[in-house]
Amino acid sequence: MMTMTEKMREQVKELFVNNEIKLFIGFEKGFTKFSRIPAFAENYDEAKKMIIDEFETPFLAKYLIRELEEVAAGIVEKSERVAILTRGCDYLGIRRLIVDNIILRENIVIVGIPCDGLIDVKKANKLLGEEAREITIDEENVIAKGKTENKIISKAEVVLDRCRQCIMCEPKESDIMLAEKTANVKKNKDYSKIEEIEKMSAKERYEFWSRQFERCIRCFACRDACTACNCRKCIFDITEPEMLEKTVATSEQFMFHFIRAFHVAGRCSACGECERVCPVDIPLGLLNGKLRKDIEFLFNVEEAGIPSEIEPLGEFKLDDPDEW
Amino acid sequence: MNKLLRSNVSCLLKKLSEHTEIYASTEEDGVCILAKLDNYEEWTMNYVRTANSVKDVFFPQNEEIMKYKDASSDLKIEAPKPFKERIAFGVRPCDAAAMLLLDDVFLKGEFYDSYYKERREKGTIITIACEKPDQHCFCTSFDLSPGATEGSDIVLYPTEDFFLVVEVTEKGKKLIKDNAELFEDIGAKPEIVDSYKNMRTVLGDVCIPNDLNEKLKGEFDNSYWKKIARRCLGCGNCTFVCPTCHCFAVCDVARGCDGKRARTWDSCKFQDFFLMAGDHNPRPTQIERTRQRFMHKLNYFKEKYDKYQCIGCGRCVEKCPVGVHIADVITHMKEEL
Amino acid sequence: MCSSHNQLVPKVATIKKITEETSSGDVKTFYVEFDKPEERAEFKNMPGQCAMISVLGVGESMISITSSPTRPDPLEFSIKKMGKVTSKLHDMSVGSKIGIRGPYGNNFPVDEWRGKDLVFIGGGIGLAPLRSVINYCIDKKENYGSISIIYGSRSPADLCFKEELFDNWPNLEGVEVHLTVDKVEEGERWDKSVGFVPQYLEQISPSPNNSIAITCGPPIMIKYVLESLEKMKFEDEQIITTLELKMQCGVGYCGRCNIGDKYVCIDGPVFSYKQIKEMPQEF
Repeated sequence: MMTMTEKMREQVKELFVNNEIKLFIGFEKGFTKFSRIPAFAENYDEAKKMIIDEFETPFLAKYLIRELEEVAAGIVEKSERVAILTRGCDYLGIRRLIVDNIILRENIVIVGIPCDGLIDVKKANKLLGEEAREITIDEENVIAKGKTENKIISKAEVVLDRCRQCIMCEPKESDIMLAEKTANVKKNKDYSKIEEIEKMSAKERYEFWSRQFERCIRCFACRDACTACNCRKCIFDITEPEMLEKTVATSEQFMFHFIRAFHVAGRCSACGECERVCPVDIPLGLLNGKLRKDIEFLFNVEEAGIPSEIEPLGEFKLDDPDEW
Repeated sequence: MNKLLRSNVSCLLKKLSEHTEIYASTEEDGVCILAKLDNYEEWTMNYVRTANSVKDVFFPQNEEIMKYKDASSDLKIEAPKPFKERIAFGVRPCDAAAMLLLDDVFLKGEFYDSYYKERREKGTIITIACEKPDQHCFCTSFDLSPGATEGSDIVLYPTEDFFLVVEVTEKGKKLIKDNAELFEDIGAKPEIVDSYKNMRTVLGDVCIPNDLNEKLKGEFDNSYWKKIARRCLGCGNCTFVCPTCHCFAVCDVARGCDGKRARTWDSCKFQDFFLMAGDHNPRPTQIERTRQRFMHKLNYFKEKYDKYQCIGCGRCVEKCPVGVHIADVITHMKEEL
Repeated sequence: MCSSHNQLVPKVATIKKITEETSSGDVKTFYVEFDKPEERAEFKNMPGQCAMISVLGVGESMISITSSPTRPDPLEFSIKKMGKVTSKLHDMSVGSKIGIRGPYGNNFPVDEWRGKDLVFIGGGIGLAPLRSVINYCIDKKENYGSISIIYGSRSPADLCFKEELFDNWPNLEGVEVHLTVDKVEEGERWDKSVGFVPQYLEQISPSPNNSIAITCGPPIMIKYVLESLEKMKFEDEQIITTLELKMQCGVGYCGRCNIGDKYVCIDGPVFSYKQIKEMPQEF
């Protein structure tokens, strides 16, 4: 049987040969061990180095904004298309951009990958007790090779935290699917960490978040990586009037993170990319998760954050019981 | 040589704190940072590198340059009060060495930076040598090592149950003399120090710049810059976590007629960093800005100060969310050129 | 130069007089005095150098000093309304307090020019930094050969320093003033040249022999002036210009004005064309 990587190469070759796409966005091996980084191919040769496996990958959907900027602005032909490797979470991001009118579906070729959850190398290293030299992944297990001993770990133990919260294990619709497979890792919505914070007193909670936000270095990576953050000009980039003082005071940190959280509320699809990119490990997933949890409860929806034409916070009803 | 029992560290920090501010490595919700410590039991060695570097202690992300009063009629400008003595404890050798690069920028030019200068003069760096460098470390690329003493006042070399203490500067010597009761002379133990100094980092042996700065001179238009910039999110986290990056912004915060002027770190990766009044931007896209960052570190800085502006701490390697980092650039460029 | 004090804290100064240079009001000259005379004494500027002007609560801007050190008081700054700081400055009135620190940057190499003919080529607000060096050379005229000033602006109304251009400089021995404007509105009085500065320069065609050409103006003008000067056989070393980039500290730390291994705030703003050609071309 062909591996997904082989299947991808075959499909991408066809797309380029038939002149259907100008760009393919996927993954390649990064410089450091086990890292997977975004890769861009403008022809088949460039796509040959791309791979698909189960190591943690960055989120690709956000790149569509930049890559399709010229199409959106009408600078190049409207028919130009970009193909992109898409897992379920990426799909939600792509839908977000489409629903928000940032990009058009017809400019994208969705190359779908089913996904059971990606592997957290840090967890594997921790279980192994050292930095793994080799890691192999099979259907059920992860085998981490250390200096002297190997450790066989069940996948469920080392799957990324964000993947445990996954709400879509493969793209709902795609142009090409690279494998037929349904997820075999059971995902349960887990709001236990959020409930723990809810149980704190207001003072404890304030102290908890102050500690987190004081670490923030305001690199804005969370915003830069988020597909729900797709404003053409972010208010935090506007210098006049200055919404956010450049000085990094705790009050300003709260302001930034709260505004961002509220701005993406109802639109955040729990992909976890903000938390992944944060250089100081602020648990942003908890913040966004709390809003998701509340929306699900208050608006009686099963999943907050699924992009659609009508969304809990994007809709108005005349018989709304609350006053403005 | 002296030894310092691990169990005596809290005691030492507590005693030092009587007249100095203590910044030490500590764990906060699972993240190791270098922070002002109030409880001296809380120091930890459970890290390869702290999330922030010792740069924060001498060149904080945010600092007040001055206050002003009554801007409209009778303007008065006040410089800040003198800083307190400060000690940074648990610094890694690479980060300590990075301070020497910041010294070049802030102290060696025609004008020195008085804020930085005062903090440096009132600051002591106590370094702990690295027992286990990880896959992101490459200090050995820059003639440093997990046991390097450059930039430190004291270096502590961990053994099973104590630290072997090496005093590097007069300042360090004095600190040990003043707290002699906590240290114990155990005679010469150069083999311990050497074992740290001879330790190699895996990445550091791959990525050695040598004369890369010379080679990069003609590579301003190399297509590689475009290639890596395509991945870059423009978040600037590489520059903020970098212990050698020194760019900053100056901004006024007004409250009526009074206010303050502050400086905060800024990043060449941000789109408004080079933007001029009148909307001209000499580096308008991430391509120019990515090139600027790497050319500055690997060519411009070296031309100006005869040193690469990198010490191989591995933070940008570890923290870049999309795998754009200097070790990759060095290795790639060396292969290509 | 005194570097013993805190460089980032400005000294308090008062605006003593404001004149409008252009009829559209977008360029004003501010006459400024330090509140403490000893701080004026420490401020030892040379032509071409700049100062950081603070409008407290708004920010700082690097501005070239328009007055020549041979005519020390008051200090003069001719400023075009461009961004936040300069806009706020334009709203200020006589008696307002501002902050000044400096002087920063290098200066025009006036000592190297001894015995040479000088050709100043300016456009728009670009005459502001040239004015200090023109007046410096005029006041020390015995050291220099002939002085030609070739200057243009969009329209007659946009010409800066009209008094000097029309009444003072042309009447001095060994000083020539050549003026041009991009276009003249109907009914406007103008008996000098009409056309862009580079073409006008080629028309006048100053000799490169024993000459130095100094140019300052909008980037696009500088670009074509440099081409014209090359055509006229000026060597790269004979051409001097200034660069402008965003600056915030003015003393070489903040990183904004970095080009190659140079920082415009301390290594510039004055560069020879030869130096500029050796730099990465991103300014």
